[in-house]
Amino acid sequence: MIPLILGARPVSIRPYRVAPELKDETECQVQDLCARGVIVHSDSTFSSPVLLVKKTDVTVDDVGDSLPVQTWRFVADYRHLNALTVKSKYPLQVIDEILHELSRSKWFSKLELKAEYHQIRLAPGEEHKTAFQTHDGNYDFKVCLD
Amino acid sequence: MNATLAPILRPFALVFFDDILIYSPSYEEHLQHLSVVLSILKEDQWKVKLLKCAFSQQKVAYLGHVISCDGVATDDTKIQ
Repeated sequence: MIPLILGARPVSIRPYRVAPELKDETECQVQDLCARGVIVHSDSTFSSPVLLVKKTDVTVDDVGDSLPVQTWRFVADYRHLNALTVKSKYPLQVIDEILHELSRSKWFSKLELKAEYHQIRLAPGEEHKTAFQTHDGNYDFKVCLD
Repeated sequence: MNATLAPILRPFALVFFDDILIYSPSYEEHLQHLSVVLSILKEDQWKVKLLKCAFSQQKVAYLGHVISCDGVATDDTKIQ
């Protein structure tokens, strides 16, 4: 759920300018998100801007060495939407407190979820609030975002 | 995530956003704990990233700390 504060009007922000060479990258990422069912085409009155943020990934080459590669992280700027959202209060644990629980343990395993938030479905009917705009269209998210 | 694993949180598992830590006093118990966690994840259809997992270790890096039977230390790779 994305509960909005009383009297909130739809967020509608003009898209940021995108460098021509990054338009292909944006289209590519949007297509991928569509194909994975993470986003769908939208006719929402909401519109948040999106941008690409540089990140460094690691790939493994033929000889087994890891190489850093420059990739782009596709993010939506939800600062305006956040400002209109009623905040929920869920207790966030303090790491030190978490780690305190571990005394007397000798064996450990850790698991990390795959792109966690994309595994959580947004409450149906809430998708339109996540709408974002790129140079080639409007889309809604169907899942929670990171 | 916290809801999914609620029944086993604290006794032998911790969750911090997308990171799950499983800890046990003995190896035998650890195998049993692991299988409980994995079957819960499977039932609720959560997917994990194998590359970022570590199984049955005596020392593991978690949330910027190195955790071992000696206790908790800061992760040296995070300090420059």
